[in-house]
Amino acid sequence: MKLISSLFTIPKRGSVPSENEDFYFQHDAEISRDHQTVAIADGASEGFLSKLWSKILTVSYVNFDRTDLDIRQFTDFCIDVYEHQRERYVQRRTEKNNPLKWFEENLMAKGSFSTLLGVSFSNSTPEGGYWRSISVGDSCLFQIRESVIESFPMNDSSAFGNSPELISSNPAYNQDLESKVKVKTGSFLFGDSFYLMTDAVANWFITQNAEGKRPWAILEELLETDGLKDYVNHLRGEGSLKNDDVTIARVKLAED
Amino acid sequence: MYTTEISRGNPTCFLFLIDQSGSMEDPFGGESSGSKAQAVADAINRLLQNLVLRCAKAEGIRDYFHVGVIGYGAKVGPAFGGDLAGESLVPISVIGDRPLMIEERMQKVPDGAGGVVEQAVKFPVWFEPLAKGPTPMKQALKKAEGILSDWLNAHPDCFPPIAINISDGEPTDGDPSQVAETIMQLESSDGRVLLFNLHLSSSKAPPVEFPDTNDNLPDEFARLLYEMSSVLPEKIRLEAESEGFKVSDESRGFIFNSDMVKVIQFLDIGTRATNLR
Repeated sequence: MKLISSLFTIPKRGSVPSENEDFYFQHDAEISRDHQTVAIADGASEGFLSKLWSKILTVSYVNFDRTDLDIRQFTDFCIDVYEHQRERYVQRRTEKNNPLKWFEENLMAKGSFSTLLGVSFSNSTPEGGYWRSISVGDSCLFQIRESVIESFPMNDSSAFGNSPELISSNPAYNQDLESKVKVKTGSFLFGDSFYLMTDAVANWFITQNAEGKRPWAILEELLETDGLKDYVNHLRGEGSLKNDDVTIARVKLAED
Repeated sequence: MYTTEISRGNPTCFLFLIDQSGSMEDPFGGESSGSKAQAVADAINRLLQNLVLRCAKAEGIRDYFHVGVIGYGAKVGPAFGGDLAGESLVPISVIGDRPLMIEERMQKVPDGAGGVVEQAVKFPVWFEPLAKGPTPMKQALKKAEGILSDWLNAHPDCFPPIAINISDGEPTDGDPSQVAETIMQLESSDGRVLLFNLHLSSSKAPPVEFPDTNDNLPDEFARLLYEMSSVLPEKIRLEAESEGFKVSDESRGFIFNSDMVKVIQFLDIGTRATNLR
């Protein structure tokens, strides 16, 4: 089974691309496997090294590539990777004669925070297979077959708030991590589309869908024609899309 | 109203007016330890730190806010020390880079296993306690009016500036109500300037937080500061509510005789803006 994917990501208005704290990751799509995993994460904007943390979470999730992921074990692994990279970052700053300032030290002591949504696909039948998704926070997964047949973990626009659940690089903030994890399983057919999105655009998608407006058809077309950037700016301008980092990954599974 | 995003391209400003009169040397809330001046200096330094941390990223501090501190006592004017002395409004990145000194303090943080541990954190100091002279609150508000007018001329579409006056409430230079009213009439395209007051009385009267009437206030100075306080906009009201304060649609940005924890909470709620972009 092969992964066919399209990715669109843009920072919030007023920011440059390097400030975008969303991250999406998958293995090379060309390689055929009977098991494929992808992940998306949204680094908290009021935090330090959020991009590094969202990147570590997604890359590790894809590399773990397990349907029976133990979130505690997984997070501990990610924290080890983060600590290693954080130490290197501090070292580099010192070597460049630019040691951490007081506010960086205080923020670093608190840690980094991010959502995570990962999904694994297993090819178990001639027509498709099953998927299993794990989520912490408000990044979303949508499965489309003619219409939206799954919306996870959010399915109502009112559920989005300003304080989503987050995974922290500081173990002190992960005490009740297990209670923040949501899990969903389902089956897929080759040809189904899966969309992974960060919260602002997911909220727009859910609202549009609730109004019967087939938002996946709009995204499908704009992903093909490179029109998404203008469309996102248009939606931000009219106020129907919150000014936040936007990441949309469309994933389809195909027979070899 | 009060919905504009705060961004580097469209920042807002916070202005603190700090009573530095002789009476601020009295103990805080009738407690024996520490003067009101020391407690206020601690609260302002903590708030400035929180504002910097909210704007700090790996690539530096983003200038979402410009902040000023006006002291009033023996003299009236900008109260930052060190490199920032004499500055009325300073970008938050400059504040972050130039504290007067950095102390190391122990802070209780969660240990990850249900308990707390003490951890050393950096505690920058920008503002030192001072308690000398009369209480020229009217003059301080007049100064604030000038600073806020200039800001609004340069930033007509900003999230409305927030001014917070911290005093023990007995102005010595006449009734400041009219100037306060003028400040509360200043506006950007997103709403009027918000003026909040924090009254640290020397009396032992019970605390009052975010009142919607002046009925329970014990003296004329408390009632004066209540009248000089803006009604909370919805977003700030919801923040106060989520932190456990009892508020109504008419609640004002005013607290009387609260303990230091509530004072810090009040300052934090009063300056919280979730729309940082």
